[in-house]
Amino acid sequence: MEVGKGKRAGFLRQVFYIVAKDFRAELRTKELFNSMFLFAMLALVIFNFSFAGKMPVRVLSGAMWVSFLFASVLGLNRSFVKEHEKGCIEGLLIAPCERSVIYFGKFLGNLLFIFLVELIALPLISIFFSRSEIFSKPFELAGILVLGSFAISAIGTILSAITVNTRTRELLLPILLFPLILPVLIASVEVTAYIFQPKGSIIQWLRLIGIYDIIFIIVPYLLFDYVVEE
Amino acid sequence: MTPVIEVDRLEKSFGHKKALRGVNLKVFEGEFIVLFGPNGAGKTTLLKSISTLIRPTRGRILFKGKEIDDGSISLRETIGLVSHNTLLYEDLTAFENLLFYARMYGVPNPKQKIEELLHMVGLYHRKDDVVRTFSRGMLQRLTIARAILHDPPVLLLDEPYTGLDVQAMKILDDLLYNLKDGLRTFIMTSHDIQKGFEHATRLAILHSGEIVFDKKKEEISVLEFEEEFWKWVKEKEPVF
Amino acid sequence: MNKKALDIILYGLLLIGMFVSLYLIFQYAPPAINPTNNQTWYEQKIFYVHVSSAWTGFLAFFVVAVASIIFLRNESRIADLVAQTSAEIGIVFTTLTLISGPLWAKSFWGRYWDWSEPRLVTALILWFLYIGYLILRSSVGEDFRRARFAAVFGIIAFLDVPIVFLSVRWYRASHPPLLVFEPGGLDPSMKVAFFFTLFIFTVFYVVLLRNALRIKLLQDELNRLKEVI
Repeated sequence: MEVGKGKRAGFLRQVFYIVAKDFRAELRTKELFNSMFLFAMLALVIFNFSFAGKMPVRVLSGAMWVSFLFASVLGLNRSFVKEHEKGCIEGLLIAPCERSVIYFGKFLGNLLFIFLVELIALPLISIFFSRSEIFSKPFELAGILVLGSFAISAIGTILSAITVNTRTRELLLPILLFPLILPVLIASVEVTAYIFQPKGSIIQWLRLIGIYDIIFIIVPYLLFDYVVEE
Repeated sequence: MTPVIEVDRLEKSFGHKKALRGVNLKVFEGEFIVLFGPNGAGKTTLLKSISTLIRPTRGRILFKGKEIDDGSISLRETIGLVSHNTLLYEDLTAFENLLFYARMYGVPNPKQKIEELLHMVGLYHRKDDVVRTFSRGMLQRLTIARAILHDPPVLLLDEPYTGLDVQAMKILDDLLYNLKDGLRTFIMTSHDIQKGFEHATRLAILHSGEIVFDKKKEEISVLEFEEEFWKWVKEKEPVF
Repeated sequence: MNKKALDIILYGLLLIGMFVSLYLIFQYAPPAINPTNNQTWYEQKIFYVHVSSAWTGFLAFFVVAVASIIFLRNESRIADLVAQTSAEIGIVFTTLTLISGPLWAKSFWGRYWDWSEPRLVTALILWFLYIGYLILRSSVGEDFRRARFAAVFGIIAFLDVPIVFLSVRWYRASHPPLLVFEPGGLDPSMKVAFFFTLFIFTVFYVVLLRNALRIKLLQDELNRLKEVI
């Protein structure tokens, strides 16, 4: 009988394994991606009609981010539901890994899903709404998408770890998330509008998102143990 | 000789409810303890505490003399748990499920080991099938495979026979016999006196959060144990 | 100092203080002059209540955060009860802020609400966070996890409040509101009324907290006895 012969995988490796597992499961069913993507697109269609097709740059940025935020909520909710379904979270808790591995694994997975939805939605938005400015500065746009989605995932992951245990589950997450994510939303919309149509200065907004991302990845990391242990 | 596992005055309260009221238990290497008790006695809580899922309110748990605390990550490598939950991801195949856990535990030669285990539990032909399609018996078999993936010297089983069909029961029996090599330690909870008696080297009864009976199998006959068992299982009120 | 003595002091302080405060606000402090139309502006007096309740609402949330941290560190039941009670009280004060604010704003700016007013908007977000906190508490079945979840959320939420404030402040800089009048500085006698009212509101908060906490502790004791029987 061999005992503990293999070297247990390191922190980053374990985080990667969790992300890989979630991706593999998602690849099979595609339920998460499909619902998130469709939701985002539908939201934008509704926005378009609400504004009678007249969406100045500012409004377009806003509509985009709101749609992405709502779609993210769907993904965040499902992420931990899967773990609780067959008590899988127990499996992760008795595995030889730190609790924060679970947090970072889920955080990264959620971030990638959100980013993927955004990447695929944007070209379609550009085509359907005839907004070529979306691609005027693709790298900068990708940058702000990552920064903004980072925040949504960082806070959303720990919140969904909490709400999955409540009776009202899917309803509670947005109630808790939206007030918290407001600063990032404002900042992301400002920066996105700037990318489409440079006006004024956005340094302080970038700074805000930066600080927010740092604080709200560290604090959940510190508090995650309390959320996930029995 | 230092016990493999020592539970020392373990107490666990959930809010106001006391699930465990001072459990003392010393488990030595190679033993197979079967823990009986009525529902609500605290069997699952005790097992979960030993597996580090639950933190004690008071008291300690020691592994080979060392107290478990927050830094006990490597400790989990030595434990295998078969609990009420299957701990299997529905959207992954049998193989993928085992691969994930094998990786997390750092099992050497994972693919080889996985195939070996799948053969052992009779699920090799379903290795690429999604777990969602499995029957209860198959799920239990796969769960056991998952639990012994990393060759843990300590195996904790929480009512593993519940809900199994005849084939699965036989496979579980065979597996347990295979795994009993004198060095591996087992703690199993059960409602089934027959099965329990069959596998055990030691029998214990947990009632209202306390161990009220603890004897080696050779010290008691089946009938005597049955008497003892029914005495405790019948009582519904907590005993002070 | 024993409980009873402290109680008497606080109650006495509160009772007398209330009347003194009312006197200060209505008699002692001179009526303000509205800078926009140079007329006597009685509604300005809402300001005393508005800012005091805003301050208390924020203080209560700070207490929630601190109690949450304490709870996570040593699972103290009292810390959890303090957090819950403070939240229940805090939301009342914050609601008061959200009512008095727009009333004051209407008389000064002619509008009830201004999205680029950082203090008002932050108070609104604070209100939502309070609601979220309380709904979270009531949605969790098992006691021991409820406190933990609430504590984690309380800490995260508290950290967010200053960031919200900043972001609305910067938002205003990029989107200046239609009216940029700032309420003028306070007269010295106004300052007395102002700070005293602030003090009395804080005392009020403490009194409420102690009483509610007392009730909760008794409830706890009752539940504990029920279990034993």
